[in-house]
Amino acid sequence: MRTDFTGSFIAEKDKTAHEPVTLLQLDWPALNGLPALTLRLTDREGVVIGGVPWYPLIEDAGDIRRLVDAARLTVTPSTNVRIGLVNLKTDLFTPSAMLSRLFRTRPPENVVATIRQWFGSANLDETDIADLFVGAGEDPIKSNEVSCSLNLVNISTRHGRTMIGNVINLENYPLAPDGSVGKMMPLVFGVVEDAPSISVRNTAETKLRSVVLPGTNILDVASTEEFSASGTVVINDNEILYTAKNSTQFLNCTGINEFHYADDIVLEKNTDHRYLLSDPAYPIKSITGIKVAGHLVDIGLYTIDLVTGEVVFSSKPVGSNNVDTKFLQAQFTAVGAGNNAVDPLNAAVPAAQTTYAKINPVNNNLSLKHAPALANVGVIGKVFLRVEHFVEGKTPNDHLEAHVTGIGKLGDLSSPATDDQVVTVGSTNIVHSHLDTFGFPISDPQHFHAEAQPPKITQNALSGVGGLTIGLSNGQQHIITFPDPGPGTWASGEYGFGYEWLGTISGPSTVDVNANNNGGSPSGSYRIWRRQGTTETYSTGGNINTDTNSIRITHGATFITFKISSATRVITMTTALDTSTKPTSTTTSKSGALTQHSSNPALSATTDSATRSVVNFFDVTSHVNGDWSWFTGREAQVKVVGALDGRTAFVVHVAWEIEYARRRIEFSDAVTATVEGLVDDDAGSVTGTPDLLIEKPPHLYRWSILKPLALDASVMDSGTIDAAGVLMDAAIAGGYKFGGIIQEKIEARELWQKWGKECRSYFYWELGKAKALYRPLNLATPESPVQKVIADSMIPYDQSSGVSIFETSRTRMDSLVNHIDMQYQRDWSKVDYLSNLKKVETSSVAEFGKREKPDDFKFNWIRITAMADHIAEFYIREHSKPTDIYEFDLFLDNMEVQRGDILWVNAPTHDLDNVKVMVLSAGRVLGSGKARRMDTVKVVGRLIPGTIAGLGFGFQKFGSTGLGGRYLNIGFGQQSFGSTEFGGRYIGAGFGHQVFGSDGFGGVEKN
Amino acid sequence: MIDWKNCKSKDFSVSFIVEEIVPVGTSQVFPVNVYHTKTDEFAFMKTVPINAEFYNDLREKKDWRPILLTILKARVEDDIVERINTVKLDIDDKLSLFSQNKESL
Repeated sequence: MRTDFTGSFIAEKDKTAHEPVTLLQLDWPALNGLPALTLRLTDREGVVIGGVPWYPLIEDAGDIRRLVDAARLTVTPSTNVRIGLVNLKTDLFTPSAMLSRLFRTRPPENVVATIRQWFGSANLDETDIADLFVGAGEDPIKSNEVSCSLNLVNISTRHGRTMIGNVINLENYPLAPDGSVGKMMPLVFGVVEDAPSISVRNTAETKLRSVVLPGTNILDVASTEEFSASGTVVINDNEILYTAKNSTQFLNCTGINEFHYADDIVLEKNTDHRYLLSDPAYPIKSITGIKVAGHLVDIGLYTIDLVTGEVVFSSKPVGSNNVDTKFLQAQFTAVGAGNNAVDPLNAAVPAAQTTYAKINPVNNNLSLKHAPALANVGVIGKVFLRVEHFVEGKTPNDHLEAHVTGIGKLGDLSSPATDDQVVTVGSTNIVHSHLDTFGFPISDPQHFHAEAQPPKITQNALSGVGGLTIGLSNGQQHIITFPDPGPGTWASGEYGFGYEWLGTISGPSTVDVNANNNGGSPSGSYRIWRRQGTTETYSTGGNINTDTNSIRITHGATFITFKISSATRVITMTTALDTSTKPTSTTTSKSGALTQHSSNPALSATTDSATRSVVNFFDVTSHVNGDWSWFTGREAQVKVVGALDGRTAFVVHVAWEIEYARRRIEFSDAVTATVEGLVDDDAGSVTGTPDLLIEKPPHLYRWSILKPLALDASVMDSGTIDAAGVLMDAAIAGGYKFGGIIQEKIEARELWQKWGKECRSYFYWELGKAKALYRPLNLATPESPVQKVIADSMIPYDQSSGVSIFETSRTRMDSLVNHIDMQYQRDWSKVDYLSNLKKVETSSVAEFGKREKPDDFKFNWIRITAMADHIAEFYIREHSKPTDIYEFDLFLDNMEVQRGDILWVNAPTHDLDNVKVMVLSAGRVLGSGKARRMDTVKVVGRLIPGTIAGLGFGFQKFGSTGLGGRYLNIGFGQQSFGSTEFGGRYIGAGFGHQVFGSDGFGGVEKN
Repeated sequence: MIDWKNCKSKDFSVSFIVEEIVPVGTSQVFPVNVYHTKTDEFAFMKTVPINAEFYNDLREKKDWRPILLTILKARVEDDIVERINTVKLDIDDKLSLFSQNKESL
């Protein structure tokens, strides 16, 4: 309630009949060579106060409206009013002139307007004037030849539009990098861990394009554009001096003493890498806990300058000194000792799957040698011998081994897996035709034998023939023999002898020479030659049909000489073949037809196939022991052991796999620190204590008024601000404290809204003064102080409808929140929060379902858990239930009502008695004869439901009207509040046994 | 009928069909007949390929014949083991499938 009214003023306002007068004082400051000007206007003629006349130029003073969003309940209300003024020429000016003429030299936007209350015909003086509103001129501002109107907005609007924050530019930071220019210099309040910094010292930077070897003198880089013609660069921590450069190279380099790799950062060497943590315009308390990329930094690497709000590093901050491991595959270069493999060097070729060395149980040793020395390119991590091979088939008996000279056997190569096989499938398709009955037609297959000629065998004599002279005496004979003609029966024997008488003969005159059979039967002979006298008769041939092979030549002479030059015979055998024709007695017949037979037997086959290649790694790290020279001349062997399987192994590749780790320094500008932020000045004008850390919300409010807004302390209503501070201090142990950073330019009024939300307060302007209100918990208790009881008689009626000017509306359902996951303790390096707190109003969840508004509960400035819990409790009470908002008018005698007051109201819309209502805003309707409007006070308030735990109402009955709803464990006991359900069941926390009377809250409290 | 499930590799004997050894691709293929010793039943014929290069290398050794025989026996034994371990389709399953006759695609 306002307490600044004088006693005379109060007496006047409380009269049932009075003459309210509206005063408007317009103050222009001295400007453009013009002196300050004050105009005093009123809505009545003849108003002179303290000897000072007030000109009756107010046409319509309008309606001072306190704007508030009854649904959100978190917005600090602001006020405005639209004033209508007479714009005719008046003698207010000399010479007389229109009011709007003044605006040419005195901008209405620059005016400070104060609306005041006065009562005519009263015994008041100038000390009794009561201010109603202090504002500034604001559009729309309009005028014509008879009237002029302008908006007056709360003076806080003018102040609140002040932007807070200074930016980095090249004037205050000539060496600032481009990315930092334009950023706001941070303003740190309270204690903020890991507060981010802004680099204000540019360092030229580029990257290596290729590897740099120790001892070389050229650096190939992406660009040297930002670097000086000569100087020093830093790669990792290797400082390198150069004396010349071209666009992509530093030349004549000295000091390259280690390997550097492509993409390594090349930095200009500086000794003052500066990082701004707080705007130096405002002194801060401390900077500690310096981190780079999240890691604490050795204290010797930097210095802290509190005056400038900077941390200064002598060398570029190192984000990480990392272990950047890579694998180097070192190839073998020569054939090693004892090799008998075929094509051994094929196994030294990487990524060549189709070439390989071959070993088998006979030539069983592939030996490869690593001849050259390997360059030291970093710290060796793991080292493996890599062997890739496959076998032409499975090796259930034999195996392969890997060996290295100086170590021996490393292990067995993996044998082909059991399932590493090829299955050949297929089918055969056999079709052939045949007769179902094997028959065919044959005519009588009679056969006959043709009659054969008798066999004739012609033979020459075996002996007894020739040219020799044969002399036979009487009785002597000459034997001629023939070969045996073979078996058979002789039919005849025809002989022919080459007989020649040689002229000597003695004996009878007729002498015969005969050829006779010599054995055999029957006997036969014939005469070869006869000499009868001198007549000689020769027979050339004759038959001797005797089955004999010996012929006797006989004669009848006493002595005779002859010769037998030849002897030939033809033996004719008798014919024994049966030549008669005979039948075969064989018959056949044809039946049936051609048929086909087919079958598809499964194919049974085995396919012998090479196995899949297998890669084995053998760890030799412990043997290498970090020594790059270990590889020089080292030999590796792959051997076939065993000869049972007789398989050939194909070694595709053998190589060293060397993991090496090298130092790569990652530089970082991510410098953070724990900052104890802005401190009070030496006079303690903000906190009351010199150099005290500014962290309490009221102190932040004060700081904003006194420092960036540079307003006089008198614009602050210290009473309300201090009162809010006392409540915040008492709220939790140690009191409310903020910790946060203003990182971007922001209007003061927006900042006040943010701060107000996070400490459940309103920071607002009223009557030209900045005030603070710590918002009470949204629960009423019997002990809750009530500033004023509003009786029905205080509420005017609408002149047209005759209805009380009292309207009730319910808060919007979309404002309901009964589950809060509050995020707080913001990580200011990013949009993230380090802590979370859950608050649930279970009874509301049961009634309305789970309702959340996650975006409304991100609290940047809260860093203390107790405070987060306290604030969350406040908001869950504030939003977990729909509630009533009351908008009503009061007669002017209630003009002391102001924001934050607790009223006791009998709401005519509910037939309720004694509802506790918190005033959200208290405005004013300024009376106007022209508008036929009375002076009234406009109030917007909200119902404060129920009571708090342990302080309930017991078992009494509240009458038919009741009070609000069902608040489990904090309510009124188990009584019923009547049909309106305002009351309901408050279990376990009643008021005790007092009697409230028939209409509820009143009565006598016994406890 | 050879009861493969209850056989061991020792239950078999081999005879080599020398006249049918032929080169195939990069191998020399040695046909080997395998018999079940107890029943004197022909089990199967296995063609054993020996890498030609290896064969040539082997031929240069004095005792190459017994080595080659050992290899061939080992290869056949491997095949015998495979057959012993082959999971055959149960006769009931076969009958079940047989009863389905033809199935349209």
